[in-house]
Amino acid sequence: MNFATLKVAISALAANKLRTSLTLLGMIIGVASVTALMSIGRGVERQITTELQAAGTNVLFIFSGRPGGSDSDDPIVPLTYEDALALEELKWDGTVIEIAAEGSSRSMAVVAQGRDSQASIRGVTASYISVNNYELAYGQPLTETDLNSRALVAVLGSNVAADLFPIDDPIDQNIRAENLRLRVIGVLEEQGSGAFGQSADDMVLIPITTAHARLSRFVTARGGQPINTISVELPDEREETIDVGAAGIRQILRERHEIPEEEDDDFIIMSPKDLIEAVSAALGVFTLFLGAIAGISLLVGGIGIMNIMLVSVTERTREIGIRKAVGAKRRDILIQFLVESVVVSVLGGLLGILLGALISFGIAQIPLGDDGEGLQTAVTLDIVLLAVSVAASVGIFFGIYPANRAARLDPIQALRYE
Amino acid sequence: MRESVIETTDLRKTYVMGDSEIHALDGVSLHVERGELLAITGPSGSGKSTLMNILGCLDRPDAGDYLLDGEDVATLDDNRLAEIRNRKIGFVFQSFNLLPRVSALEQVELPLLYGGGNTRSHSAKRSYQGTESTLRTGNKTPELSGAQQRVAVARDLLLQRGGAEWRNRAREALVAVGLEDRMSHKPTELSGGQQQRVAIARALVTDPAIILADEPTGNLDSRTSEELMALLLRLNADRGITVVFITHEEEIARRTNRIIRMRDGRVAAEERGEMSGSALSPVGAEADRAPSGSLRRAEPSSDQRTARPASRPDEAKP
Ligand SMILES: Nc1ncnc2c1ncn2[C@@H]1O[C@H](COP(=O)(O)OP(=O)(O)OP(=O)(O)O)[C@@H](O)[C@H]1O
Ligand SMILES: [Mg+2]
Repeated sequence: MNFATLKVAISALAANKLRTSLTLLGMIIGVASVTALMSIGRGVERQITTELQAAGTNVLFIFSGRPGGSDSDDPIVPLTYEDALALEELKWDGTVIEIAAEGSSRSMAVVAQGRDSQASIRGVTASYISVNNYELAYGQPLTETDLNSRALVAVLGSNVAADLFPIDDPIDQNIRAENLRLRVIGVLEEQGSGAFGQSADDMVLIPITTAHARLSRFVTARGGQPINTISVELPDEREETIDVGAAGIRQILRERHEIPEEEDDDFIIMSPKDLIEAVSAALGVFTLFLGAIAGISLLVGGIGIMNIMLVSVTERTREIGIRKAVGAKRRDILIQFLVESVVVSVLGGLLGILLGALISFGIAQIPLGDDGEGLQTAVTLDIVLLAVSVAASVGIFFGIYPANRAARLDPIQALRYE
Repeated sequence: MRESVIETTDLRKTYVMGDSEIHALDGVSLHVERGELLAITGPSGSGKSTLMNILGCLDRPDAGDYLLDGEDVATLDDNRLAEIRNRKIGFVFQSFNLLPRVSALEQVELPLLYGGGNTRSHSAKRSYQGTESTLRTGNKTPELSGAQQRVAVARDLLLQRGGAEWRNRAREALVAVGLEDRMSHKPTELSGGQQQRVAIARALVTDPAIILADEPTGNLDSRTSEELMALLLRLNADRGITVVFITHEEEIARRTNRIIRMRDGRVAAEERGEMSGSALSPVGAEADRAPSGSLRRAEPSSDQRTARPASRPDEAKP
């Protein structure tokens, strides 16, 4: 291929402007929808990853379950508050800094001064707020004393506080949840929507001991107090620190759960890095899936190109005959028509990226939720490259058949064509 | 003994239509010598075009041998045939067959474009020899040594003069057919006679061994036909290019070295034309007959007509 071939292709396309623009439009719509949808996917991916990172990357989460790949069907020993307490020994040599446990939360109506709010009550340890990087807006956090005395105190999430005490200072006010009367000692800073479904803004945090004594008296077979998750804060986020911490936790929990040497763990230790990786892998698939759906319209655009090229080959049969008569080889004709379809598809691809970026920018301006912020969208370089290369491939793929048909024409028959 | 450019033996081409067979060519053996001017005549349907297309490597015979410039064409693949059409043959059609919407200059450049590397080394060969001799190299191209050729090609590549070289050669060809002031005109902006001149320039530009013309004046009025035939005859006389053309006009056919009369797919008769004496003279004599320099200077009277086609009202309309 050379400059002359490109010139021939462009002048052939320019000779039929309306037709060329309509074909272009098909490509533009296809590529624009791929770009826009993928940019939305990529934006969501970024937003979630950022939120996960905000939770701190030096925290390990432990919950019950078999690690991936395990085929053991022995019964799982549930995690208990006592397990969390046993991990305290890792603090002595600085392997870990803080340990927090949370029980399962229960959703219920919370009432105060004739107002009510739907909240989820969760028993937690005193360290829960700091380990999860939550900040107190005002008041006091839960203390070890509260835990030991099974105190009837609560720290409110910001939404709950706003629902119940729109004007008054909530501190030292009483609230009621079912048969539980609690005194408010603190209110959390607004956290925004949480990464894992539930937002801290809708929670009411009470001492885990109180929750066990008053809400659920359930005990495990071994007499322990079941909990949902243990969060462990590490001194830093280096790989070794995480590995050493995880190894220490693993050893203690395996001993406590009396797991034989050859058996798999019955708990999962997940680092935020693992979590971010797992989530972004899933979201990456989601983004690609969105792209694939949009790819259907690209396919339609490609079929449009093929259709037009077939018409063009038929219309220009005589021209092909003339070119062959003066010495054009099959390859020359093939390349001429292929360049034409690739020019259309790549031009459509570039314009489509522009349009897609505009759409994605427009979507980001639409306010969502109550914080008034739009969905983040991101037209990243990889999306642009993907769109251009897919567009070019569409041009080649759908152009090759018509081009080949042109190239194989018999010169004499082509010249006789009326 | 003179060298033959075309040598066919017993060419056959049969079309099967339903259950009847049409023997478009029924054993044609033909020799054409280098520099010859040959007319083919015959009634409609006698197989003239079929023969011409095979001679032009646009079509293949069903049977028979065809040696073009010493090369056995029957055995060549499509790509080699395309190369032959490009370098050895200039084809002129009755219906002009110009590309739509393309300027005269670009029409004429087209064969050079498809000549690719070959044309480049060919052009290097030409420029090495110098422009003075280019017009007369059609007959015998002195072989350059490998080293000389490589130097010339390398120089061309270095100077990036492929495009400019093509343009110059296309201009040269258009000047030779008298269209120097119509170079940027598109086919719709040219009269029929001018369009056919562009086609002749296109056939001429690669310096082919042979020009084949299938009723080149069939679509033109008699005055324009006369001019075009004069042009073809001059190309033959001055450049020594072998010209084979089909015509229905007895008077035109006579102004050649030889006339082939076809009937029912066979050569029914062969006659000497009015020019037979001079053409069959030894090769050396030709150089004396062909004046050096441009063709237009050779025939001043026709030059005046062809140089200013716009001044002719009958030609201005298509
Ligand atoms: N593609 C084809 N299919 C079938 N028959 C064909 C085909 N091409 C040519 N013929 C037949 O072959 C015969 C010779 O045709 P050809 O075109 O060579 O004639 P011609 O001498 O050039 O005639 P004219 O002077 O009218 O141009 C005719 O009888 C024609 O009908
Ligand atoms: Mg004919």
